[in-house]
Amino acid sequence: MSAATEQARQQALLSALRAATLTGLPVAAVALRGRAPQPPADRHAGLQAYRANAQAIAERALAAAYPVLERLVGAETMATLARDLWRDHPPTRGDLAWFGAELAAHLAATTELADVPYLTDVARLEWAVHRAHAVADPRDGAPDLQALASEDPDALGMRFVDGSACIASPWPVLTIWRAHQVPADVEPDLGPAREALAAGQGEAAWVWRRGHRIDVAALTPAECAFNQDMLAGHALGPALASVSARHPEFSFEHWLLRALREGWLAGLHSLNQNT
Amino acid sequence: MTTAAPRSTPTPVGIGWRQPHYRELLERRPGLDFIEVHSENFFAEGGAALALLGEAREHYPVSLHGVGLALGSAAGLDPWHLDQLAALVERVQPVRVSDHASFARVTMPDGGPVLHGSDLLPIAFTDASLDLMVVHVQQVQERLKRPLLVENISAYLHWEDDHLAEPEFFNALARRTGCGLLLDVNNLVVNSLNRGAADAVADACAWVDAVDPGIVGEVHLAGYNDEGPLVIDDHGSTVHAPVWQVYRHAMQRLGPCPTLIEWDTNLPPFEMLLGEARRALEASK
Repeated sequence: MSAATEQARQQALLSALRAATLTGLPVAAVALRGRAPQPPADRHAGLQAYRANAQAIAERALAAAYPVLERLVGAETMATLARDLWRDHPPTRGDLAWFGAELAAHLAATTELADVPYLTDVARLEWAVHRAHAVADPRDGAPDLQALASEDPDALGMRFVDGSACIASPWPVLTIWRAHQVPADVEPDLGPAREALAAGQGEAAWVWRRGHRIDVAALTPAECAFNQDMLAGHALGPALASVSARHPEFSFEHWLLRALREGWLAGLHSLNQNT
Repeated sequence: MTTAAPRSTPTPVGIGWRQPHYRELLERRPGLDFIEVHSENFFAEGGAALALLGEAREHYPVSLHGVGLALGSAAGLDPWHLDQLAALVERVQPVRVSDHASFARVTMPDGGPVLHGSDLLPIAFTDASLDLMVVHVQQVQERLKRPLLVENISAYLHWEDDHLAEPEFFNALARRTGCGLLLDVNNLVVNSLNRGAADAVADACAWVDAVDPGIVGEVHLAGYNDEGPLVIDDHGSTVHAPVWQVYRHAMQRLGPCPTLIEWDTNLPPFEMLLGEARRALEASK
């Protein structure tokens, strides 16, 4: 027996666990049999035990990352989504906190949920919140912004604290998310969300870490455009020109005051490749 | 082979510390000899959970118990996973580090991706499987600069070509790598029951007797679910009577050995968990 044999048997078992049905057990040199003294008809019990565990793990992991979505679609639909994601986007890491990253894309492609199109953006927002929990803690103290006064803004970028994300949506994604920030045994007040949906209100949500807490706040369209440019690593000068052209009301000074007050910024970085 | 320590030395007893009990442990600070957490739950670079673990570390020794290293995987270890674990070990300075004798990482056929099964899948008890485990345990120990404890699992399938007895497998693994055994008594009983052993307690006790007592670095106790066609190691109830029986036998043979109450599903009130820890201390005497 060799390492190749071990690889083959492990492939066979995981493939069997991922197969659509319980037929097609790996046989021959790597045949499996249940340990229980059970009738032949039940000899797949072992395989079924692993499959049931995989389903339970997938459901728990997805629900942990997407609590608002679970309340919106219900436990049964969430379980189906977990099973579908396990099939189409199986874990590649031993840390299940990463499972479910593709849920927003999966929802966008799920025709059965086409009549609730805002779910995709709720999922994007929840994933941003979920991942923000895991990033390094922001440093205490004010960021060093001295280079704003001395450096060429065309070669200067702004760094947000780790975990920052901007979710721009044609739906009132933040209002929907906020309505569900209540204990599990409390019915959310969906009145404002329904009104915003009826009014066709779009929203941009900003996610960032403040200490150990995750904050989520609304951005104006101008702030959203500017923050997205900064997140994309664009230079300050061109980004300011761009946002001012599209949103003449934008004030960098006001933006900076808010960013400092709310702890968005980690600092500045030079985009000059020679430095 | 080591001799059992004098019975006057109390057995260190701890509990698995899970999210619903984070606050209560820190507020009540019950008398426990250690707490154990799942390493992967603290792979974050920062955040509230990691801060709470740091706070707990000020009051209790912490044992890091992994579920995702997949030490028996023919696809090898995930360097990312090992990096995260090494960073956590550096940060927490745990009293023990452990994971399981199982596989999960698989290179899928025909040039497919490497997937992680997110489960403790059963390795074969063959020489080739032992060789794989030896390489991977050594790799982890060299990286962490400390010995690892490797846990025996509940297995719901086994392989026709298994030719090493499980205790023999662990004895050899410990001899070749210097690692220890995390003896999960519940898993022994679950496997014995699923094997249809005429006397599951005697079967599990024989397993304990076959392992070199000097390699056992920690013992796990948990509840199982026996309502279905197979007995499932679900860590969702109090420790069952046969497991206590095997535990008492193991303590007689091993002497005081750090013992953990694991409870991961259907979590009980914190007081009930502490009650199980007290029962373990009593049973170990």
